[in-house]
Amino acid sequence: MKPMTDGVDLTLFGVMTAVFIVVTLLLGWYGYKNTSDNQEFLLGRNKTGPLIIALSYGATFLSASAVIGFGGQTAVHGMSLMWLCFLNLFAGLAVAFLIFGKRTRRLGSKLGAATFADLLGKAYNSTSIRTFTVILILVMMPIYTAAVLKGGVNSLAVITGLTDYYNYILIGLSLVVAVYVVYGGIIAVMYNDALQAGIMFIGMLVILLVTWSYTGGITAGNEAMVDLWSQRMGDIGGLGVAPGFEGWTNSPSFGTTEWMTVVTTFIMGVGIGALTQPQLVVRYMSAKNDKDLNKSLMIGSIFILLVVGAAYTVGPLTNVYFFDQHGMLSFEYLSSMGLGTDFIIPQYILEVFSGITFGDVFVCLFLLSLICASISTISALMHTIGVAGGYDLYSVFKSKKTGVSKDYQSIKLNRLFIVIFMILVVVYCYVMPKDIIAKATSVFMGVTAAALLPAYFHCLYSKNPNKTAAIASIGVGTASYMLWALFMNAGTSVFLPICKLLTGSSVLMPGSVLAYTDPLIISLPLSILTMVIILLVQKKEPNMRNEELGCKE
Amino acid sequence: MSILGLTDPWVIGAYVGCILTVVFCVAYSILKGKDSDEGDEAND
Repeated sequence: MKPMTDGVDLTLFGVMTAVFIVVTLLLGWYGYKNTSDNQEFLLGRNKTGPLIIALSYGATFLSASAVIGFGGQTAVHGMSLMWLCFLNLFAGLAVAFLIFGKRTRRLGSKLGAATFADLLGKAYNSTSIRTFTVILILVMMPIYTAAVLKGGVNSLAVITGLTDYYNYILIGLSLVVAVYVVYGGIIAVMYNDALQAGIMFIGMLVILLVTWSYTGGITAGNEAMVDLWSQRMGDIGGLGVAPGFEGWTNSPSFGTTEWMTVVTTFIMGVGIGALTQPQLVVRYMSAKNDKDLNKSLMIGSIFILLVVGAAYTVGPLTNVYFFDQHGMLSFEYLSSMGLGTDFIIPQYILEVFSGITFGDVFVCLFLLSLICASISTISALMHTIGVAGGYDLYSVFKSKKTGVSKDYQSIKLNRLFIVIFMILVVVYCYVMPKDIIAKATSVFMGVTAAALLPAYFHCLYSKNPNKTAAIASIGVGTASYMLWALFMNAGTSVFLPICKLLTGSSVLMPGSVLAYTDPLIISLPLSILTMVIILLVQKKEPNMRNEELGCKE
Repeated sequence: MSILGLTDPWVIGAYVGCILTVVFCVAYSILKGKDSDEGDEAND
């Protein structure tokens, strides 16, 4: 990949990054000093307030994928992707906190659960559900983590022109994350998230204001996009969109290929999937009480609206800028440079800030935001992976070996798992295909939602959760997601081309609307249906663990 | 009808939905965060 520009002040960026790393490591040290036992390493309950919970949730939720990956997609597909911002706020925050968060916190506290897998296992009194969730985390999450890491490092290396130092940036970022997660546990992760969220917030606010200033205001910017589309006379050639695209300020025509891609893959796939993210569920359980969760809603919603809303509003407006400056639309311009949609936002930032006062500072602030967005997500994922191995898997293994079913705590083992998997993630970065961020995000969120969302909801709202229904729902959700992803969906089948090996075609029905339908749209209803049918057939199945605990809800 | 240069009701709806959700979250946070003690440790 060629460097995008030599316009970045590397000295200034180096100084800002060095200061940031020092503060990050200091917060890691703070976490280390405040982590006296394994429970504090896992949850840090009573050590975090609503501000930290809100910013940590927001920063973990929004990786670099949200800013540059999906921001670039809005430059191509237009403002209809603002529905994803709405779903991030509505499903990913309001519903997540009010419908799932409070009950998760209360049930987790009642059952003594410290992780998502632990919660599901204890709620259903099922080692197999806990083990399955752990396996899902240990198999899928490192791939997602690697996609986030690789995306962040790729962008950083290309934007700064430091492509020759790709390996050093990759290893350096991984080391910083590993050090503060290994030693500081969840406390360091959450405090660092809050710092990183603050940087992201300022960075995106500046970018939004500068963009509106360039276009001459909100209305003028939107009208310029309408004019650009009028000039195209409906010609979508070279725009990177499918038939059904109606311009950047309009939603695509219902039922078309473009509509299926935008609505089922980008909007619903990612929006709904956020509800069952193991790394986010832990944020609810770390709250002291419901009041803290209520308070954190305000800060979290403003943060997500600003960061995601700014990225998705600026994305389409980049077309106006690039057309003014180069006579080409965003996708055309970046394609002419040999770069993909992931680089539309970074290239725009570099160019738009090049002629303004303190432009260098803002470019460096954006680059720092990019690092923050990446490592806030990576650190949360690495912590989740580490405790899935060092706490959940270890407890399952020891319980089986000793015959005594209980939780086994080993802070050293958690740390060991984090180190081992961090190395694995770095290895993945070298073997994974390019331009994988948005797809890997969608697949990880999709498969966890299809497999676990009905079972998670059921255990929170049922007085007597039905284990058989949960296992069947998990099985059907996972199997149907995998089958659709491997044999039907054109976007996901490229990951593991089994269909091509068996049939010679990449998917079973190429060219049809089904090839652009996200697996989650099929598998989640099947998973829910399975649970409902079994619940209706088996009215009541005793759950020994809840009876022992006198757990009503 | 044009609002800030936008005419597509779905796009306008997405922005309105975002703003209303934030307004709801802020209001809920202020009202419930002040006096709510539902589900505190005492109840667990």
